[in-house]
Amino acid sequence: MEHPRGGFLHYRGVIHEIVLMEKFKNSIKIAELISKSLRGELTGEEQRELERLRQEYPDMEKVLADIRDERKLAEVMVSRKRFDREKTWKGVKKGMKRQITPWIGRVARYAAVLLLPVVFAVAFWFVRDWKASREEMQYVVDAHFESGKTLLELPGGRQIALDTLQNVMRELNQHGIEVGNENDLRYAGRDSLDAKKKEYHRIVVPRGGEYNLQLADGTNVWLFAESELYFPARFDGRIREVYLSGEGYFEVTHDASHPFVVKTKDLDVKVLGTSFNVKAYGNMDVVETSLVEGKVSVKGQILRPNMQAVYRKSTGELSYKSIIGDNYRLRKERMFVFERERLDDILSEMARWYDFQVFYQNPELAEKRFGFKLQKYEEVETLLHILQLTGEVDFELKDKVLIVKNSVR
Amino acid sequence: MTKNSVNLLSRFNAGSERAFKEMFDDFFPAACSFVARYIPEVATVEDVVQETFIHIWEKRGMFTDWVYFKAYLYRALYNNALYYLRGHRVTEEVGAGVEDDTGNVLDAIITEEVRREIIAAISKLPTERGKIIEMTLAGNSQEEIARELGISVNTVKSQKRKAYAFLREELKNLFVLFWVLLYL
Repeated sequence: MEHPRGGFLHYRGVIHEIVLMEKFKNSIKIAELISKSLRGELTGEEQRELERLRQEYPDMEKVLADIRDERKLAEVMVSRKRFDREKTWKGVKKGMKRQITPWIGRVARYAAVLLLPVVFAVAFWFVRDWKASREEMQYVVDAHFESGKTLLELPGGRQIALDTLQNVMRELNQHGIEVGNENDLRYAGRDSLDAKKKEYHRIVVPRGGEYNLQLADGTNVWLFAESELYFPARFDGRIREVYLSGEGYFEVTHDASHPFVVKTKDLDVKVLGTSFNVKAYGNMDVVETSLVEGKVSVKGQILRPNMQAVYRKSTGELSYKSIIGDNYRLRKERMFVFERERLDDILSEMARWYDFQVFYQNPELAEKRFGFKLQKYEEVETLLHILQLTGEVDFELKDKVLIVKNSVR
Repeated sequence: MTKNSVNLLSRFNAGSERAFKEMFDDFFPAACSFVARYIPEVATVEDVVQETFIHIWEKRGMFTDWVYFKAYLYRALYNNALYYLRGHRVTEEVGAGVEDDTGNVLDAIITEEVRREIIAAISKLPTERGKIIEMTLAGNSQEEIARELGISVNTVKSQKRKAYAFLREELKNLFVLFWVLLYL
């Protein structure tokens, strides 16, 4: 059978998702309180909280009666023995090794497929102030917010940011891909492909955009804001070559007899079946190649996992630094991950996503280092607020210009 | 949440397969009975649960606390079940009622989660005692239990008493729920 796959952001509206997730969290909290009360571990405050929920939650009495029904409990205990835990775990283990991210494999097998960039909200995130003098301070914030963009609602309740949709449609049409209903994207040009002719396609990801595509050989590419990928609809010949400008995260399908090469303006990354991130923006002096797993070669040097090769265009120097590779893997999960990075680097990255210009009142501020991990979302104010919480910087956003100021706290 | 389980979640977030297996074991039965509310075939339920856990593994690193983790798990299970139903709907009526079923889903989550805790407590009992409790809950008399397990009625009584003492310790207020256990 074709497996149903995880990932629920694709057929539900953003706002709807947030509200629903909050409701799910509420149910979990109620369940935890009831379990605690069964164990006799409720504090006085929790006891009152449970009482309140009992009044407020419409179906509480029904739920409690259901839980109290010992026949049902016995039925559940017996009926759950039908499910084969070991077999399912084996399946899970197999899936954990799968290179292809689940829901993509289902959509297309032959050529590139674009997935709608999904703008969405955060539930939890944290920021760390990496100032050397202090121990890692950690800010845990629970926030959710709503989209400021115009949303288009499609039949079935699906909502999409209008400007994003237009961008996507334009891109898709250029590539002969039709947008089907629901989350189904088909590659229409597939049959018209001449087997002998090598057709190149180009994907341009605008500021604020993000695309996920699968190449003909099954390799997955996550392209981030302001990036371009030029690639053949089919790979032939001995070498699998693609051209990148900007940033992309690659999970390359292993095929030892057909090496995979990511070409950028300044250097080539030769791949031997692996996951890695390449950051090669035209307006930055450095080209970063970060290896998550496997092996890649940059300018004849072999990189090991958790290593980053930094190439400086101005001097032609290649240097290395150690990184947490997993943080780069998270990028494709639509998370921003920064590890002790300069505020200026962080903000230029944010600027690509949120589309603003940065101005420093005091140039020293650009050198401050921060580390954090959070899900991408729409409201830049929320991100800025998080950085402000560290008490290190302040911001003012006016007409797409971000002014970075000394903190007044 | 205990210190131990906080630790479990952070080990999972850091990519520990062992921590993930432990979480899988904890949630597998509850996940199955939750999905089974929507899909009747055992094999399909297992498939939906399997795919959801693979998805959860891929999302490791983003679960900041258990409430979020559990909510996300049930949310993903629910969506995957719906996704399956949409794809395999024979007629429009099948599964149509499931679509706007948020209230029931929220109730179901509470029930499944509380049951998960209760069953976890019962499953800590030695096999025979566990079986006796299970049969008692299912409405069997002591004589029936004795016959089924090939033990004397007195053994059933004493095992039940011990099981009850244990459960009372584990779930202090359980006896309020399962008054049936009081009739030893």
